Amino acid sequence: MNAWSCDRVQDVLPDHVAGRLPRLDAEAVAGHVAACHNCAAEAALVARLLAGQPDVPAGMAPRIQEAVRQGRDRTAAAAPRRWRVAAAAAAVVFVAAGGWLWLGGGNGPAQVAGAWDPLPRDWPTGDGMMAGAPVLQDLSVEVIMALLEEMEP
Amino acid sequence: MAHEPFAAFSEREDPDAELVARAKKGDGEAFDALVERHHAAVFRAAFAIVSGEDEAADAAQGTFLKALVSLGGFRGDSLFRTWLLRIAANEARALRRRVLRRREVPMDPVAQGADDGASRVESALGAGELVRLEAALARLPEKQRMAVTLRIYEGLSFREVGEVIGSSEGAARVNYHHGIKKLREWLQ
Repeated sequence: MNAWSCDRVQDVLPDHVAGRLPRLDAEAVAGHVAACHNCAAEAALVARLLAGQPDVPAGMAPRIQEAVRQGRDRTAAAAPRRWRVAAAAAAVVFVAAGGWLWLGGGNGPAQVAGAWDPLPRDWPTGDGMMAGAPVLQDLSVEVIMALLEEMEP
Repeated sequence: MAHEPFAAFSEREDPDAELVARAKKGDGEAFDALVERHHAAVFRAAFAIVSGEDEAADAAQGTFLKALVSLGGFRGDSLFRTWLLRIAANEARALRRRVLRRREVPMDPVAQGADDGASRVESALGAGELVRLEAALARLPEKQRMAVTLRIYEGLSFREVGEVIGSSEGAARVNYHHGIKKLREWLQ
């Protein structure tokens, strides 16, 4: 028996049996197994298990690749739709916020003298988006959320 | 005991790194190559958890679809193969739960296997080597079965096995050796 312990050999038996060990290690393990009844029995079991591994169904890889392709296509088709919904939602929120400020709502930072105002109160009229603001202003959050949900594909 | 005389080839560097990088950028051919390379391991990992070839194939397909969606979040902290097999194990467990709910069977088939495993092994005697091996493996607790099959079929290191089954490297080694010990007893 050589310097390899049974524990060490049994750790690497799967690699030895499958031929995955570097040559020098393989020789050392083979030498140990030849002289050790216990490790030889375990090597035989490992070989049986390796030989008995389940067969992969024929044509599985192409089937998965096709499913992945279909999944990718669906994602790609859905992406612009999702983008449009997100843009529409952003526009609704933007218009609602603008209308709220335009109508004098809010006593927060926008009213603080000298503070930077992202939505100036003298926002020019005639903007198409502004036209919808008073209507949206009257809608509750629940109704706006319902509208957004209806916009979902 | 903790000594490992060599690093499994996969631990030196991730052989999938280039394909993964390309697949992350939307290269379909690179992802196809990853499917080609790993579908067998994914199938076998799923097979160790679910019951039957069809379910394992379904779990394998689900694994790659999930991997496609999650690939952007893969940071390379583990090997791609390990990451994929972890998804496969989760996918197979989820599928098993769904199947059991559908069948309204109250007992986990693996636990059931542990209960009647002896009779299954005995009844399978003479019915072919593959059936005997399968019945004996089914009798092991899931972590031991996973450790044995991932170590033997796929050549995963104990560290990788631990990452897949959610345990430390040491626990993976213990699970493997306990599983082998029982199999030797049952299959001698």
